[in-house]
Amino acid sequence: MASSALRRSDFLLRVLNTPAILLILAFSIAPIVYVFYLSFQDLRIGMGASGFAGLDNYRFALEDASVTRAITNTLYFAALSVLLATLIGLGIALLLNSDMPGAGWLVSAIVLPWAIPEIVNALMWQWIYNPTYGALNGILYSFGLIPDYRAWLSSPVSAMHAVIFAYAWKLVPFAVIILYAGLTAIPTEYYEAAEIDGAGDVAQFFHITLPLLAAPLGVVVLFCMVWSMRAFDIVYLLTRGGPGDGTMVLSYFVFAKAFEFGDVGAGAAVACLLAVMTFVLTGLYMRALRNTGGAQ
Amino acid sequence: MAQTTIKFMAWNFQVETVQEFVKQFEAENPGIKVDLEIIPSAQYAAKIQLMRNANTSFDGLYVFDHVLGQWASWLEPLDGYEGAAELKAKMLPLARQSMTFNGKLYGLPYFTSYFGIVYNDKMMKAAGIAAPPKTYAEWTEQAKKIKSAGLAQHPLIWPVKHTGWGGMWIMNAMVASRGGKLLDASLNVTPEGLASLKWWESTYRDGLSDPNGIELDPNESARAFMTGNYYTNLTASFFAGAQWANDKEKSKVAGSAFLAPTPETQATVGFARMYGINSASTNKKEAWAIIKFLGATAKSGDYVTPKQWVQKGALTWGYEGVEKDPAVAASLKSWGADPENMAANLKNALAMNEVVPFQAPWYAEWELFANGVLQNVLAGRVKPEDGAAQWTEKAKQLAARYK
Repeated sequence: MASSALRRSDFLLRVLNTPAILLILAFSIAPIVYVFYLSFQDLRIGMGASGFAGLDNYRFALEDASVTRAITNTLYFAALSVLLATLIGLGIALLLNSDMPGAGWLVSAIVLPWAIPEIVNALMWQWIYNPTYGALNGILYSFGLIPDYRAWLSSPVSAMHAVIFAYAWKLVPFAVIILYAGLTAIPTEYYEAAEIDGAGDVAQFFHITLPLLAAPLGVVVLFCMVWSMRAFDIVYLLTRGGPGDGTMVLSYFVFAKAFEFGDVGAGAAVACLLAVMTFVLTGLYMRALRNTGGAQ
Repeated sequence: MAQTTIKFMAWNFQVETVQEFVKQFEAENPGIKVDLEIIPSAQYAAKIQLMRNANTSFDGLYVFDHVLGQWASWLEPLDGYEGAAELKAKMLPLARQSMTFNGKLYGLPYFTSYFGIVYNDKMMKAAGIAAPPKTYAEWTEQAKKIKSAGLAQHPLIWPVKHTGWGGMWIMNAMVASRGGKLLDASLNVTPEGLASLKWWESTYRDGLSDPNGIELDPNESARAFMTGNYYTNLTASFFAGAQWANDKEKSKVAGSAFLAPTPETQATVGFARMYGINSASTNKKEAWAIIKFLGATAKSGDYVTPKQWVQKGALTWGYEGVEKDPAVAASLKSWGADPENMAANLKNALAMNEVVPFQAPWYAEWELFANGVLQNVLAGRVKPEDGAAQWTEKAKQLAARYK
């Protein structure tokens, strides 16, 4: 009797899950499989019929210096964005958790950047960095920190860091929310006991807060890294990969290759490489996190 | 009366003017309604390509000449359409060449333009200079004189950032003015190409060109010139017009901005934007009607839209004799241009494919890469010789891939 009820509920669960599974298959799995298929095709728009290309697209992608540069840029972009967002997010979360007056309101204000669509964020930073009327130039110039207005996006180094900062700004609210939630979940008794034992603020941070924040930190780093690896809008609007190929990241490279230049096969191959890189980095990070006991 | 609706794709230049032209067309063709879709020009090529790949229906469209090699496989050849041969015969060589691919005509001219030096006459005279430069050495000397007189911190501004086009088209104009090509038949950078690159880089090294300008696209560099802080801007001819440098309300150089030919041989390159038809359209007859109205003649046989573009956007024509129209001539003269001189320049301007493999299917990709290298050279991060070597290497790599 009980086992037949269980079977019925099991069946019902499957039926209820079917639409979600179908949607995931149609909109996530199928496109991935199709892109993988395209990466083995000689498909270039305007070049007539396509055919099987074997590993040619991958060979072309790996031999192309632009792809190598895009890989390096992507890794640098992702690493620095995640580092910035996590450190700033952690700082703000600690501040919010320190019984600061008005913390509740501050949380609402901090969440705002997260609510801004990516494209609006990119446009906003385009204005901030503008070489003739940008707010950044205005502020720095009025404080006497720069002698003249600067074109922040005109050299590869400053452009890359300007883009990273703009992107990290968008990630910070996510980091704050997750880390603040993690901080509020740490029992206050731990801190009280540590104080009785004579531990100072720094010791408490490194021996209580940080170990107990390992799991939320893991979530923040993991999600921010995946998002940063596929960042597109900010690069597209601010620099379009330039100057030179100074801010060319893989996601923009794929877009340009496939949709602007019509080399769909090579674009798909680079997209697959990006997916593999993200997968490997995520796997390595999860493994490292498990070894430290953080992902429990 | 049954009405056919056609979908027409355009980029976002003077949208109200385009809407006005569409209304004029609909008034002349009551059986056709136009569904005009506007796309930002920076996203135009990618969006159209995506629409085409996804079999999204559209009938007529704007076409960039630099993607014609990529798009010709799905654009409708126009040679067989009624009146096309006559129109083709009347086109300027620049327009005809830019819109022909593998011997077939794929567009009617939206506008043509050539590259010349837009210069600030007031600044030039204040420095005691009699005429705009006739050689590159003279250009350098004049810029140094203006700089040392304190008239401009950096006298030269250039459109270098690639948005639609950028620094590489300026490079093509410079190479043409030296009487050469940028890439030879083996895709090596020519001596004229290297000389142009070296000269251009030297203007940045000597502080004559504004380093911030490396990130300015054609529109932005034109706006920078309008501040009155620069002596020259080598750019497309329409940027000297009443809507740009000679805009009395927005430009500080209005009335003193003139267009001079390129130095040395005065040869230059030009380009043509065009109207085309999607070969998958089910309304080709109606699509031909609108592109003929916009890109050639109305039912009266007059170049109604091309003439209005001169007056409303300083966009020059693709057919011989348009400059003779009194309204067109008056419009050009209103901002200091000489209609006959402009017509001669348009007639003599070389199509881009006479200087670079402009219609090769790999050209657009190479141009974006080359523009990045150019930015590196101008900023002093890469030597001109190394930059030229990178151009050659990439051109050969892409040509091999697209063989």
